[in-house]
Amino acid sequence: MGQATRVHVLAMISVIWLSTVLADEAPISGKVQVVDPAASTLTIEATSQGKTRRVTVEIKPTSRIVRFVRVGAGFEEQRVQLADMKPGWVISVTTRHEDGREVAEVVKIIFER
Amino acid sequence: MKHWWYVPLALVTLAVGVWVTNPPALRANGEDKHEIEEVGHAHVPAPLEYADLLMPPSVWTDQAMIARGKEIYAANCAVCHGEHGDGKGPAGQALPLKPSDFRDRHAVAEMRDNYWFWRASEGGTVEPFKSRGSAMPPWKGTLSVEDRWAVIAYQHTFSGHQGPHVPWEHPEMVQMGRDIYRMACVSCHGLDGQGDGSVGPTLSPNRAPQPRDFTAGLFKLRSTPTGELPTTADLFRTVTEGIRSRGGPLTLGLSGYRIMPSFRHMPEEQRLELVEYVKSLNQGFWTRQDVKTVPVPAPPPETPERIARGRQLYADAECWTCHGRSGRGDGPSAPTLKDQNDFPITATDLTEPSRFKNGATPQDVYRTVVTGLTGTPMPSYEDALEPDQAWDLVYYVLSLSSESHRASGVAR
Repeated sequence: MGQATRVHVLAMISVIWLSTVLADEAPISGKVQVVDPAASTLTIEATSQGKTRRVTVEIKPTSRIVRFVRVGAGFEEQRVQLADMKPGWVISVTTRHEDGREVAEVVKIIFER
Repeated sequence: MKHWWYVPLALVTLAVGVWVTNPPALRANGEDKHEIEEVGHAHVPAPLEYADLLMPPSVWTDQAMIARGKEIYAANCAVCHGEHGDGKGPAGQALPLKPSDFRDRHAVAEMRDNYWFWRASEGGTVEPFKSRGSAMPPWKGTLSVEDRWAVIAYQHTFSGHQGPHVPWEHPEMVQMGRDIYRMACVSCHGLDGQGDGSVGPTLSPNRAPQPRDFTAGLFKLRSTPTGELPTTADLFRTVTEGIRSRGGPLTLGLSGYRIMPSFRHMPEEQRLELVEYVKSLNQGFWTRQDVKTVPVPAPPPETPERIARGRQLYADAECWTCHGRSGRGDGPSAPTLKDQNDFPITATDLTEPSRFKNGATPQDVYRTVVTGLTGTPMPSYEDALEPDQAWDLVYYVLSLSSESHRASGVAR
């Protein structure tokens, strides 16, 4: 295998790996079951295609948890701490895979009850 | 540059890589991203418990209600459905199942009011929305019935439609039922539901029963008080069970001597769609305020004493004048009986429960006794009999047939 071919193959592998890392995660939504500030995790019950699953999402310092508050004719994001969240709230979460775990990018609070 | 082609090749490889990995088959909760890029609207009929919870047509254009709905919408719905009803509220952007776009006039036209009310009440807690990952909260515990009406009326304004949201303004909302009707019912009930199909009259030539005229508002098989329109569940039961009869030359092939076949084989959703179309043939289904039903209490135990009391009631209420002393439908008045269209009608032979039009379980017979059969000489005994007396009469009527006949009457 010539050097140019080897470089080419390595470049392709790198690009595929990079694209896998960059691939965005589809959001999930559901009702909050457990809030664990000590472990920095949030467990939600999400249903899809007839199957209900419990998904535990890790909240890192880079994760954003937001609610939307009305300001005039529009809405404004307001940051929320994990410890302030309550079981029963309905949320949507975008995540990324990291070492086999789901790490939250943005948690949006849809309904607080 | 010797390897200039590396750049486009890398871009193509990146595109392929993204295509392969996004969307992968499974996400954190097992969703396929292809299936989740949907909006919340789905053409499914509201379940029976919501089918008669209709908004009064005046609410759709009531400016006070619309203003009230606007406030509720701004506080509770706009965060997902968007300030302008476009389904693009800030919290709705990341939802797996996209919020409905109320500006989509075609989708809105297909939504029936009972569907809308069901969705607002139950949110994403019911199928098929639950399985699709709907995050919509149920509002029935938070908003009153009138508040839900108000917010629905406000949401309706986004579609640009000015009038009430009813089938005679939006035929699209009963399109599926109309298609089913034209395949399954038109030969007896006629193209416009007036009971004038080409086959209908031959089922029972020059005699009752004739195919129902859905536009006239007279329905025999009901759980509602005499003279009132049936519930959606009543119509659904009739479509499901069919209508039994003494039979005739063209009904012998129909299982159990049915003059109207059972459509039990038809998927439930299709039967519900069909019933919604039948309702659309009479505006009274939309303009009635409350749908009251005659309660059918739990059947008491059958005892010889109850049957004896029923026998006395049968005599006192003069049931025998039509149904005969032994219940064979040969009472002295039987030959003179006519229905509302002046067709001769036969008094039911009470010794043959398998041919009771309204069913032959104790509850079925109770319902028939209490509500009567509108359009026939069979009156309602709702005001004449106490519930316990009605049960006495029910058990006496059922005692007129043998055990085997009773069993065959109950079997569907």
